[in-house]
Amino acid sequence: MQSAALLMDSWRLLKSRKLFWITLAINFFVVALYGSVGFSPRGITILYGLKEFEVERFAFGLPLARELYLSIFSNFIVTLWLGWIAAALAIISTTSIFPDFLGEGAIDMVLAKPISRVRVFFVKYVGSLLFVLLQVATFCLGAFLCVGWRLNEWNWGLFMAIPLVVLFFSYLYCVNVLVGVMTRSTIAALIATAIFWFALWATSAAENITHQIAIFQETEVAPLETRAAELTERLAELRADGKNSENSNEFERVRGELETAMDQVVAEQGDVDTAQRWLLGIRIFTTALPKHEETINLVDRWVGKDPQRSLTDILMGFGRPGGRWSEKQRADQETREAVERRVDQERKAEPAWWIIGTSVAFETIVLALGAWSFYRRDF
Amino acid sequence: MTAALPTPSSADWAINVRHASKTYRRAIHALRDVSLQVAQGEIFGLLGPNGAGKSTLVKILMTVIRPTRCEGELLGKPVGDRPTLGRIGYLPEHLRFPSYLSGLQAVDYFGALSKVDRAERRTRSAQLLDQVGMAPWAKQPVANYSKGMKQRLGLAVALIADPDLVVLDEPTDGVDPVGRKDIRDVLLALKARGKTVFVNSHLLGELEMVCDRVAIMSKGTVVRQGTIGDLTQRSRRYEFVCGPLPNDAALRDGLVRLGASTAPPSSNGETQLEIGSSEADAAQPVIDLLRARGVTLIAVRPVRQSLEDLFIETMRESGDATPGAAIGRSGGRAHPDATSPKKVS
Repeated sequence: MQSAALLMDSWRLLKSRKLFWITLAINFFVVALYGSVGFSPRGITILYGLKEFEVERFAFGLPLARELYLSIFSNFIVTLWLGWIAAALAIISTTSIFPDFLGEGAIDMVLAKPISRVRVFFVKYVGSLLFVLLQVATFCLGAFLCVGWRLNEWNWGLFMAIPLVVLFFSYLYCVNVLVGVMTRSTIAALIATAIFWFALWATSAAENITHQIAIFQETEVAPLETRAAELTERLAELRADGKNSENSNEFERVRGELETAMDQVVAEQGDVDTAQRWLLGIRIFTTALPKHEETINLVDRWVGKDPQRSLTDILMGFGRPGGRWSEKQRADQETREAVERRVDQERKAEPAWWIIGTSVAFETIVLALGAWSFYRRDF
Repeated sequence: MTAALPTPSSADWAINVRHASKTYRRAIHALRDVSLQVAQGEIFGLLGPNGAGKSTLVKILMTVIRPTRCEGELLGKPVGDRPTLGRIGYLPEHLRFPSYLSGLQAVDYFGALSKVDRAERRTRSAQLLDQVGMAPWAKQPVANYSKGMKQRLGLAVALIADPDLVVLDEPTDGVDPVGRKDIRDVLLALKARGKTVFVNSHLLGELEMVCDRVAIMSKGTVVRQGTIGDLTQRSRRYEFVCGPLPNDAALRDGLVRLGASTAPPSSNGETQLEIGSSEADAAQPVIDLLRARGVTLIAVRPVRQSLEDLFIETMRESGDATPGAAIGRSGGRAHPDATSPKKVS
């Protein structure tokens, strides 16, 4: 009864927030936009069929059309809208919940009731997550209907976005609540959350970049090692042929090239080792942090599409380097794409239990600190 | 503590607190070894200037603040016993309701937190809002309420669980005179039903009208505790208002002999006398003497020190006559037997 009353109070609080309704309205707009994309026998249609793009590989019923539509949901809308914009609106809207709740004259009324402080804290926390839960649930229901209509497929996996996005939001919100309980200041909680979110993004970006550098270095060292092996083999052949006298120009040239190649291999390998060490250090650090991007990316795995194929991959046909590119530019571009793809693949290969488990462990610790602070505090 | 406490058995105390102390950061002593007893079925007033520790004590009782030390019981259970809080109604100072709730929703919400079942909440909410005069605004958002309306609503919230003990921290703060009368009536009705009321207020006149006993706090300690009658006993006396006294040496000698002191005549010619006894028998010789000398008697009345004067005197004695000791005077001196004595020579 008491928990239900606290949750009902949270619902009433949300209903009273204009931002809740604004976000919900934007949600409907985004769903409407998603639903406006469709497929015809000749390709893609937008604006409910007002405009048609003739791209045969995306014709209605083809696997790529399905991949494209589900990728728009998981790679674009969930990541950009739910993972950034709606989450930011939710943070702004819910930041004041705990500081207001803890204000003098308000918290007294609750603490003087026969309910434990720890229970009040956690139920209030869960109630605050209702903001995101309701928004995402509404959105997913809309997206589910759109997919059913456009692909003629009832994809229940879309609803996995609900717990995942709520989980992602909770990583940020737990910090918000901790600071809110400790300072009773809405502004302090908001600033701390923004800094934490930025820090998460920055560490994730740092890991990504370091990972790319490490892989790029590996790809650089591989041909050098091949070249060194070839030269070693060639040198052996020359020896076998008795052409290893100091007067042999061929022998000297090959030996010189081999020495140069070996020096390059050692230098590049040193760079690889350095990049790997940095990557390891960053990974040790990020292990303790919530995996916000990875959690959102799990949606990709559970909507029934190829998780290794991004929206960019699917649309690649539109953006490939054209005839104006030189061979070197084309080769560089392909190398970059190969590196990015490998990084992406390796990150997506991380097990879900690891991503969620380490993140929830972080959240548990932060919430425990918040609950302890709430439990011990005088009001 | 100067006054004797009532002597019910310990099981009959609604509040029995011993050695309550609260120290902040090992330096600021908000409460110092406070002991306080409130009998079941009485209205008890807690007085004190700002910073005396009244609200700290109330918050310790309601588990809002953790004491540095506190022994004792509330309704027979240890202080801090959570289930017992369901039997206590509480109206905090600076009450703040969630602005998005209506009055009815607020009563229902806090009733649910007090574990009052739904059907009972529904019935009692309407009754209580009517009782505190808030029925016409029951469905209006609290954000639109005045401070006085919020206090009335707070009282309804405090009573939703039909508590055995009601703890009210400044219940009449911001309430108009009619509202204060309504609240007093509610408190008296609670007492009539055998409930215990613990009131913390600056409005001494309000307390004087309803309280059976009071405690006065200063600098974190209880400096006096007892019934208002007991605490003002030594100030009880008889006051005589009469016409101008004739220049009669025998009269003056007689008044001195009877222990009567006189104040200089007022501008309208009236003279005021008083004797330091509250016994009617002691007043008779003075009346006889005055009448025998042809003095017109206008009024004869027993008087005692008001609670306000007692409070100020106590603050002076305890050396706490700080600006924070300022007190509300609304409703003061309303007690028929509690007029403030004028200085007499």
